[in-house]
Amino acid sequence: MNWIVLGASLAAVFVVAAIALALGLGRGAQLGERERVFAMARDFHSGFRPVDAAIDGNDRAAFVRGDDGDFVLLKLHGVHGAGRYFAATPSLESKGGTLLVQTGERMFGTVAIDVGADEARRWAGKREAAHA
Amino acid sequence: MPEMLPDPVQYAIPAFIILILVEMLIARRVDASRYEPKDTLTSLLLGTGSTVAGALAGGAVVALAVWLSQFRLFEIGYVWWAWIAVFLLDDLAYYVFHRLAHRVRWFWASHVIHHSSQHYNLSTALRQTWTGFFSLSFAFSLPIVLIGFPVPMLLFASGVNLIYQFWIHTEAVGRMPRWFEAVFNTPSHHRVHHATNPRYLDRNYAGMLIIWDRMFGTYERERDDDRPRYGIIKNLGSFNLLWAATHEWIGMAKDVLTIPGWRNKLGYLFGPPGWSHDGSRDTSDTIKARWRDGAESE
Repeated sequence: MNWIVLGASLAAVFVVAAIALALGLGRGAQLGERERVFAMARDFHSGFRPVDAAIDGNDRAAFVRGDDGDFVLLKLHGVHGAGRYFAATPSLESKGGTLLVQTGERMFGTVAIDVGADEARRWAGKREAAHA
Repeated sequence: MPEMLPDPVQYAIPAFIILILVEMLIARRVDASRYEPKDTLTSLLLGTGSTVAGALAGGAVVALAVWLSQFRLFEIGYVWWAWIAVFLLDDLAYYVFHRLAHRVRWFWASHVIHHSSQHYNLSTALRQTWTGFFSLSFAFSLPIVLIGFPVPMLLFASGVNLIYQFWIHTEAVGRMPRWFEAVFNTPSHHRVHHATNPRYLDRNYAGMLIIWDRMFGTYERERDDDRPRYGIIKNLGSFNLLWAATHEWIGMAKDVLTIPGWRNKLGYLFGPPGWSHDGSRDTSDTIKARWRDGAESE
């Protein structure tokens, strides 16, 4: 293995990524309005029928309830949404005005959705209602 | 050791970089969301890592191929028809490997890296595996050596195949002329392959020639009313390089170690991606079936 070639390759990689940044590519992404979030949730899990959604005030995440009592969690990852499907209510917590949805996956993480205190409590209550 | 032909991939790398920059300029004008700097960085670093892994393991693969060649059935030299035959056979071997790479979790664990970007651009083409040697993906080409084609000729053909597959990773090209789309793999065909739309899952495995998909029933055309959504069923949601390179291996190891029963363990190793002993996860077949049921009930 040629260490000079490897070093030059790594330098070129960072230069190309820096050019993408300088060109303003991939900026200003948002999940969008309720209908778009619903469409994303349907696309994410075929057969999912959304009925309600908690959408982050900054449009960076959404938690969507389906009519089967199932859920789709969406979070902005770069300019696209990455999601997780839950057949039953996942672990939810209301913290101030934020709804915290725990995926149980360290690398996907806990997703924080800024929806205001009342909405956060309402959604977190679904977990308690489901386990009552 | 036979005298090797030049590695065409080495000569193509400057063109790869120039074309990525050109595609970025097009994206800036047409659709700035086609690129995302962190995604590009991840793809290119995975590509660099793949080159390092290839350099470390390549010698062993070549040595094995050369050793196997002593058992060849025929003595095929560098005649003109052998070049055509080796390109066709190598492309067919790629089709077989690629189909299994999507249908058998052991091979998918290595190949998933290439699909883990939610973008579809030329940098995605360079997002390549670090663990191809470990998953034994090179084994699919070895029968060509046993037939009797010279090892350097096969390596050269594989290199050209790899270069060809670079340019098809783009949204900047719509459709090629009809005759070209009928024979060759194109950006349109390969967008289908990278899509997670149920209709497109596990379709268009071709390397250079789409004829294999047409012959073996795995062809699907790109539709304007179902635009491809790229990535994997459970997108990573992380730009972590090591996670992208190893997540499926880690998931597979956890399943094998924690789920009891040899039949289950073998299922987690060699079943289709998403297979689970209790049916709690989605495979591409269950996703397609659910999608078809939904379409019929509407």
